[in-house]
Amino acid sequence: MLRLNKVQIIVIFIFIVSIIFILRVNKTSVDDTKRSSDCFVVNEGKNEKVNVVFLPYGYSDNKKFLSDIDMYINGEFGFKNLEPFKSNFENINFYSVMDSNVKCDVVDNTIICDELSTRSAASRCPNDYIIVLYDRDSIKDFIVPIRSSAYLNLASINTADDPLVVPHEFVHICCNLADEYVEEGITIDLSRFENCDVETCPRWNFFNGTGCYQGCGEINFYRSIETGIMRNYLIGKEYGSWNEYLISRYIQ
Amino acid sequence: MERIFNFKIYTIVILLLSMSVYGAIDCNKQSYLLLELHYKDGLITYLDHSTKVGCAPGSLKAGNFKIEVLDKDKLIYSSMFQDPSKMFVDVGENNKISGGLVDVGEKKFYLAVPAVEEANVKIYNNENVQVLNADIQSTQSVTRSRNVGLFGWVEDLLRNVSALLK
Repeated sequence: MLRLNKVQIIVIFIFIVSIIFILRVNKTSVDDTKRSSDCFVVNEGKNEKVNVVFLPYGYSDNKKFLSDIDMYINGEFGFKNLEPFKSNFENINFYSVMDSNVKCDVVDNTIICDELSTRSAASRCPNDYIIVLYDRDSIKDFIVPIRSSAYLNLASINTADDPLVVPHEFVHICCNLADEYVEEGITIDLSRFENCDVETCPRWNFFNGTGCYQGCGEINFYRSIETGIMRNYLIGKEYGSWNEYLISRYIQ
Repeated sequence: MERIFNFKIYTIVILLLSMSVYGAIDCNKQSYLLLELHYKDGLITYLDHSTKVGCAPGSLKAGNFKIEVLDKDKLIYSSMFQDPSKMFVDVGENNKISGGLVDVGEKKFYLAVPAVEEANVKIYNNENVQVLNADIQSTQSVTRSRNVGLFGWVEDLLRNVSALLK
């Protein structure tokens, strides 16, 4: 006959109660449920290959921050509805940290967030890529437009810009895609950016649904889509098939 | 004797079961090395490091530099990272996007990698030329998560439960 002492009974009791609570936590672990005391699971993919953390800057309340995150993930042009993220949505986890104390600066009309404070805040969650949302008033931004930036694995986003600025900056940090607009005085390294090519576009001329249009970072380089998100996210609302293929390689 | 044996068995079973149920990554129980580096003319110099509680990024595939962390010659982490001397800037106005890839020149930057007590960090450029080789001693005396072991786990659980009830 198995006889249990007091300690064993207490341990077993704690264990059973724990299991019940843990199962409750896991069951509701989608949509703003706390994973730990600091890290919020916004959306968890089943395959969990890529981890993206949203951090707030300049928000006066968390509701607005969560609402913006929701727009960038679930909105019309959010990751959930934009190829190739749409087809690979189960590969991506989205997290957020509310009280992040991130420091950012506007330098030469560009929002640049401090690496130390962002990395420290993001480290509370699984983090491959960090997106800081700078809550900027759209009227102020109309008068003085602020540029978003992408550096290493950190994107600093001006929320007053078009919603597609997030997927535009994100593929700079995740997937080696260059800007496809031409900016005078800017040079790009073709070996680094596969979305641009030389004349006749040998990189993708065999690929369905592509073209070969002049201007990709530099005037003498070529792009695969006339007006896609990487050229002009105010007009183009898709990456184009070649760029989708390139991005897919990094999120699968 | 039998009681001690039984207790050990129960504890092991409980630990195994609880680990399988609570499989999610808890960054409060992990630590990472934050490397302070300096980039100039294609060369990267190690400046300093600190050990912190939290998750390091996973292995990233994009970028033209590669970082490797070795623990006693054993590769424990490898990841790509983008050129630290370049920054993309973009703004949409008047139906046009402007900005582009800006050269930030020489720059101090930070990389987070999984914590190892005695790490050998190597960085390679896009031509696979080694641009950094640094041996880093990390004392691990960082203020890690306070809760270790069965009772730590119970404490964590109680903290999560109280957070849920808030």
